Amino acid sequence: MIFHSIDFLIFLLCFVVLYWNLGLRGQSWLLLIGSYIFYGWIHPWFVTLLMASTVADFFFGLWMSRAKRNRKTLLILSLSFNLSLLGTFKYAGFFAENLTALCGMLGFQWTPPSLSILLPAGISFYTFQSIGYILDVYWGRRESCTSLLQYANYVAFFPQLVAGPIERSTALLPQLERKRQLTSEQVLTGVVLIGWGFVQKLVIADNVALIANEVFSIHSPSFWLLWSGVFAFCIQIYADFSAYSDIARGTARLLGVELMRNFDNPYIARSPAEFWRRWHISLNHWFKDYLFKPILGENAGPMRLYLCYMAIFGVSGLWHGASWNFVLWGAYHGILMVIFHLAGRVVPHKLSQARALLPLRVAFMFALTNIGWLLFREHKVSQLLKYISLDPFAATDIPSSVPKYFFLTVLVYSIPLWVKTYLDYTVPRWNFAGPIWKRFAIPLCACFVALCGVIIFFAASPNPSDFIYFQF
Amino acid sequence: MSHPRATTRTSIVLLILVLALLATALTIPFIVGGQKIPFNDRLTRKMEAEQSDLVFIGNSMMESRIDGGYIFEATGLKPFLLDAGKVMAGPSMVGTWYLWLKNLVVPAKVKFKKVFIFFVDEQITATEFSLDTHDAKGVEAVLTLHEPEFDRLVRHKNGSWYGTIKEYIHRFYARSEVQEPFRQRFSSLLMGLVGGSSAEQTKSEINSYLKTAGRRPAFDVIHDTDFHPRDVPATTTEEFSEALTKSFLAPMVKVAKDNNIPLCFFRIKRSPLQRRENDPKFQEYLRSLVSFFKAHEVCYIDENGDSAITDDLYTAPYDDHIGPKTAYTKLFVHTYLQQYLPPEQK
Repeated sequence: MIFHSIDFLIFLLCFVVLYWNLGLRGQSWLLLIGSYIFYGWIHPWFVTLLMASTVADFFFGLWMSRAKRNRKTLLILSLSFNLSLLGTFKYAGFFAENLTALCGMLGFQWTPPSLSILLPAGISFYTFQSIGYILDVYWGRRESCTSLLQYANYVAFFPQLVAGPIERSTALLPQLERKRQLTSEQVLTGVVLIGWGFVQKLVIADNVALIANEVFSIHSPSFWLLWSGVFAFCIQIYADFSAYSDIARGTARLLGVELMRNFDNPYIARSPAEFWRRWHISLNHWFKDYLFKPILGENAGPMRLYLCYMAIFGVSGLWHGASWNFVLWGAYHGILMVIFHLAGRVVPHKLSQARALLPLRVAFMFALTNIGWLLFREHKVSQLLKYISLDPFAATDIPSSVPKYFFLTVLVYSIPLWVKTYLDYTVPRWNFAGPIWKRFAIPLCACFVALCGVIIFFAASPNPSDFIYFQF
Repeated sequence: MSHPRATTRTSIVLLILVLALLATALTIPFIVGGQKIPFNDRLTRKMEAEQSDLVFIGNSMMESRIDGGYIFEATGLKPFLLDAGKVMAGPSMVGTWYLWLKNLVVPAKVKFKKVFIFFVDEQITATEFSLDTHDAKGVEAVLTLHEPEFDRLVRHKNGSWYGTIKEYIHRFYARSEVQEPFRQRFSSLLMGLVGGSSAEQTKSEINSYLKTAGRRPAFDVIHDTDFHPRDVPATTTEEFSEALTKSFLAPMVKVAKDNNIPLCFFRIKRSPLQRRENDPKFQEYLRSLVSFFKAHEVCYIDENGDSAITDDLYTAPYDDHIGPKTAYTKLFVHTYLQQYLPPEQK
């Protein structure tokens, strides 16, 4: 089931009403059944894979918790199982394709067998969440879950199942295990998040997607036309993914569960490190805690740190998709991290932190981020090379009004995102505990939700598309 | 245990928010609601005035393939194009084709040489029918007061309560109908801002560039995720028979037979990424379809075996982005309208 469908709205309404009329056990069963219906709505066979992953990791966790020896063996078995799931369903075709190409280069023809099946939506998300749980149990950060029902809900929790946020077992499982309550604040903020999520997806992301798709389908765009398309994609991917996270968080709140924030205005970052603290936060925390820190170890030198950056970002790129452009995208961000780290050691701190330079730094980082999005969006490396060699001053027969119109349209559609960024920095200064806020919270939220409805009614894209991160 | 006061407050908050949503939902259609469009036979009069020889019915995939000017130049035949792509979306198109055939083509006092219906895959037996108001307007203009077949297939068709709710929501919200002028005003405003010239000039400059810009081959461009399943064709004989009772195919054939309209169904070759020729279920469906056409002695052309329509004709991942229109039309004329060509061109 997809969030931006009437099916989901009817499902959610019925689900919430039923859910809050049940006790904890009833809620847990309903949550599991609802999650499987949600996930298997379009392709029911996806659920069997999810179930297999759930049962396997539940028992691996349980055995690991009880075992006095061979814990490492169990960990390796569990990791192998999870990674083989990913390998089979996500990367088999990619490796087969590259192996075939390699054999061709070496002078003989061989095509390894590959599965021609649809990538199960969200497989990278729930596999990483399961791996996180197993590692938490292995490292003793939490006890293994003793209830298969609760663990199954942890893996399949429908608001965040398909595209995150990737939750920690230490944060989500305890919430699912205890009795939940619905507060008026949860309802208010939940509905606001859902409303805002729909605006981001249907109005912003899907409208600018038309421009990005148009530009990337043109054989020989000019420099400015290409970058108007990249700018469109930059806004599209943020609005699209942030929308999913917000709808997921809002839906979870209506069920009395708090999910982590996945985005924190990433386009005002001043450096790559800050960008990654603001973009897809749950995945980056995952990489930091489960991969980066264990690999880096303590007292690591700069060389090891840089190698770690490159390795982690390379893996992060591959996590996004089985294609070389994603690896390039990851490597590009790894290189940026290294360069900025080195620059931080050379440039005087006073200069780098000067307030006057702040807008320049944000603009510079935004431009670098856009270069990254070009690598992300364009799957063909040969086409990428062609794009990179485009000359901004070259004469072209493409009317200048085309890129200008595209830039302006994207800019106008993205206004709500910039306004939201501004509000995120000013609203926290408001006194929410004060009597004025308490009195006006409900009418304000009701007006906001109504406004979202009106905006969607008038400005939603005529061609809504799936969430981009479904394919990861 | 939660505090009773807290629970009451939560319920009130929920109630207020639901009321806010309902108020918005009910107010908008009331404010922007339109009026029913009366039947319009302008196109019939136009066909008569032009004494058209050929009629082409289809969607944007037909519109992007058929160059009426070229057909006239090459064959001397006067074509008339009815393209539902501009007013319809999805499966509603076939219902509109039926109405066009019955209410616009049949009444025309013209001796047509051929009436082509361009379709893709199992579209011609689609049993879904979505009538959001945007589509409803297009349908309304070709609906007469007495439409028993249309009523049977559409108005009383949605058997399931769930389908009825969805249909009702679509009908209630005149979203696409309201959006179109809003979008046009919005883009005109922006075009006026970017161009040194007027908004209209900028618009034509941008549109003419986008229409003629060279496109990359379909397979080069990223697609949306394939999360949605393709339409499942009615494969077994029973399923196909059931689809026939719910779709507009049989009524179209009947109308054409009853009125001596030389109808010809034309299955277009889709873009390389959309083709399903290797799908055994789809092949089964096609066999049933061909049997139906044979049994009813209806002209049916399938261009999928035509090797002259090469993959490089498709310039984007969409079926309607097929290379230069004239190049395709030329192929069409020389293959399927050969009998009308002057001897020196045959």
